[in-house]
Amino acid sequence: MKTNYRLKILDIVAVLLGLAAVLIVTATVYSDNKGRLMVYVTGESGEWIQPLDKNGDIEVPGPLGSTWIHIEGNRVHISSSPCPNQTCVAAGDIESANQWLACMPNNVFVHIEGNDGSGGLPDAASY
Amino acid sequence: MQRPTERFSDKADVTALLGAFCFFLSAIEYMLPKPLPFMRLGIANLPILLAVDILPFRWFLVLAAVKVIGMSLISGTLFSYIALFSLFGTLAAALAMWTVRRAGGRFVSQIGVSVAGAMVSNAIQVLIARFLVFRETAWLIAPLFLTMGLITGSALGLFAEHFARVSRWYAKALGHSAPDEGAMVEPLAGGADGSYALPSRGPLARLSAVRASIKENRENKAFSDSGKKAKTAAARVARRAKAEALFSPGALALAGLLIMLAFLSMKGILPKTLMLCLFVVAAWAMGKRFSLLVTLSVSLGIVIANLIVPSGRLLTTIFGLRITEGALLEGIGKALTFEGLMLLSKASIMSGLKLPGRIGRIVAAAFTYYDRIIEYKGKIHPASLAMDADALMIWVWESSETHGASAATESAALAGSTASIGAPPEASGDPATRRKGLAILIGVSFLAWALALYLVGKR
Repeated sequence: MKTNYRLKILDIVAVLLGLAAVLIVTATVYSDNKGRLMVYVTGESGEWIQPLDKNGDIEVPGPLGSTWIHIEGNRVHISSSPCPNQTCVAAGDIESANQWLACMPNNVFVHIEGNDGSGGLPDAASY
Repeated sequence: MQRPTERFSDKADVTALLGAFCFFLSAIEYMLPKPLPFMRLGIANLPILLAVDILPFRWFLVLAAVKVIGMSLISGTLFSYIALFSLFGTLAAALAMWTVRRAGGRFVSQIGVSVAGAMVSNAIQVLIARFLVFRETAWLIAPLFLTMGLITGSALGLFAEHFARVSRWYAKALGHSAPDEGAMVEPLAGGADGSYALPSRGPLARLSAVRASIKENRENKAFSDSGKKAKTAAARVARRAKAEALFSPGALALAGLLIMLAFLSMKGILPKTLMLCLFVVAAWAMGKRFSLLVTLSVSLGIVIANLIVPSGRLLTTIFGLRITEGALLEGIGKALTFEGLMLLSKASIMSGLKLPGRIGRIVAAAFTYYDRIIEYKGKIHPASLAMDADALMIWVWESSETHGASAATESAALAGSTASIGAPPEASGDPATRRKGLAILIGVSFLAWALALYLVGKR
C-alpha cells in the first residue's frame, strides 16, 4: 500500500511558526528572568526577598520597632518607620536596579537588584 | 439494520464513536510513562483531528465537549484543575484545528492541522498553569511544553495523515470508496445472544491468536505473583461495592461539588491539610485507586516551582535555591488545593453517574462504544498500527450496529445508559441504605461548610 506523501505548503508554515514560537518564547522567558527586578530587604532579624512586580507589604522588626515597606506598581518605598527623623519615609519611591533606601536607626536596608538594562548607579539614600 | 452510509449521516452516532476512541486513547496515554506529571503526548486528540473533515462544526465542538467530560469521568478529575486544563486545552486545540483546516483547504494536511492544535493547546495550558499552579515559574516550563507540542503534534499529524489514507472507516465516513477493499477484514457475525465470534481466518483471527497467547502468558504470571496485590485489589473492589450500595452517584457528585466550593473558600495551610487528609480517607473508602507516591511527587514539584521566584522572608538556602517563607507557603497552599481537588473528585465521581441533556446522552453512548472497544479481542501491532486501529474502529462500529444498537445514542438514552466507564446501569441500593448514605453526605457537606464559614469568620 502506498503511504508516501509530501508535506504541503501550510504544513511547513505551521511547523516553522511552531518552531519560531518555541524560539521566541525561550528567548523571552530566559532574558526576562535575568532582567527581573527583585527587592532585597535586610534587617536585624533576617532577610526578605520580593519581586518588584508583586505588590505587598513587608514588616521588618528592628531595635526601635517595626519598619513597613510597601511595594506597588513596580515601585518600593518605606511606608512607616519608628525612627525619629522619618527621613527614610520622606525619601519616597525607588524603582530601578541598584537604587536603595536605608533606615539607619532601625537597621533596615532596602535595595533593588536585577538587570533592567538601565545600568544606573545608586542614586537614592536616606538616613 | 441501517445501511452504513445512512448511519454515517447520524452525526450523534459518529460523535459518540469518536468520543469513545478519545476515552480509549486517553486511557492508553495514562499508562505511558511521562517525563513530567503534566506532560501529555496528546494522542487522545487523534479522533478530534480526524473529525475535522467528518463532522460539521457544531458536532465537532460537541465531540470536544464529550472528550473532556468523558475523560474527566474516567479519571475522576471532573472537579479538579485537571478538568480545567483539559477543557480549555481541548477547546482551544479544536478551534485552532478547525480554523487551520478550513482556511488552509488543500494546502494543508493533517500534519499542519495537528501542529496548530498542539501548539495552541499547550500554550493555553501554560497560561492556566501560570495563574492556578506555578505562578511566574510557569513561563520557565513554557519552552519545554511548546517544544513537546511541536514534536508530538507533528508525529500525531503524520500518523493521522497515514491513517486517513489507509482507513476504510474514515473513507466511509467521508462518503468515499474504501481504500484497498481487498484487504478488508471480514464482517463480524453477531450471535443470537448478542455475542460475537471472531472470524476463523483473516487478519482478525491472526490478531486474536497473538492476543490469546499474550493473555495466557499474563495469566500464568499473575498466578505466580504473590497474592498480596490481589488481596489489596479485592479489598478495594469490596469497598467500592459497599460505597456504590450506600450512595447514589448523583447525590455523591452534588455533595462533592458542595464540598469543593467549601474547600476552595478555605485559606491557610492547616485547614487545607486537614481537608486533604479527609479526602484521602474518602477516596480510599470509596475504593478509588490513587498513588501516594505520585501525589507527593506532584506536590513537591508544585512547591519547588513556586520556590524558584523568591517571595518573603528568607528562611534558608539549599543548593543555591533560596527558600522564602511567602513562596513556600504559597507553593504548599497550591499543592494542597491541586491534590485536594483531585482526591475529592476521585471520591465523589462514581460509576453510574447520569449526565443530563443531549451531550449527556452522547457521552453515555460514547461509553457504550467504549465498552465495545474494551471487549475487542484483536491485537494492535506497532508495525501495522493504522490498519489495526482501523480494524478496531470497523469492528466496534459494525458490531454495535448488528448488536441492535445501530444508533448507540438512542439505545443509551432509551436504556438510561450511564456516562461512566464500563459501568452497569445505576445500581439501586436498598432505600434504607441509600437514605443512610444521603444522611452521611448531608452531614459531611454541612461540616465542610461549617468549617469554611468558621474560618471566614476568624479572618
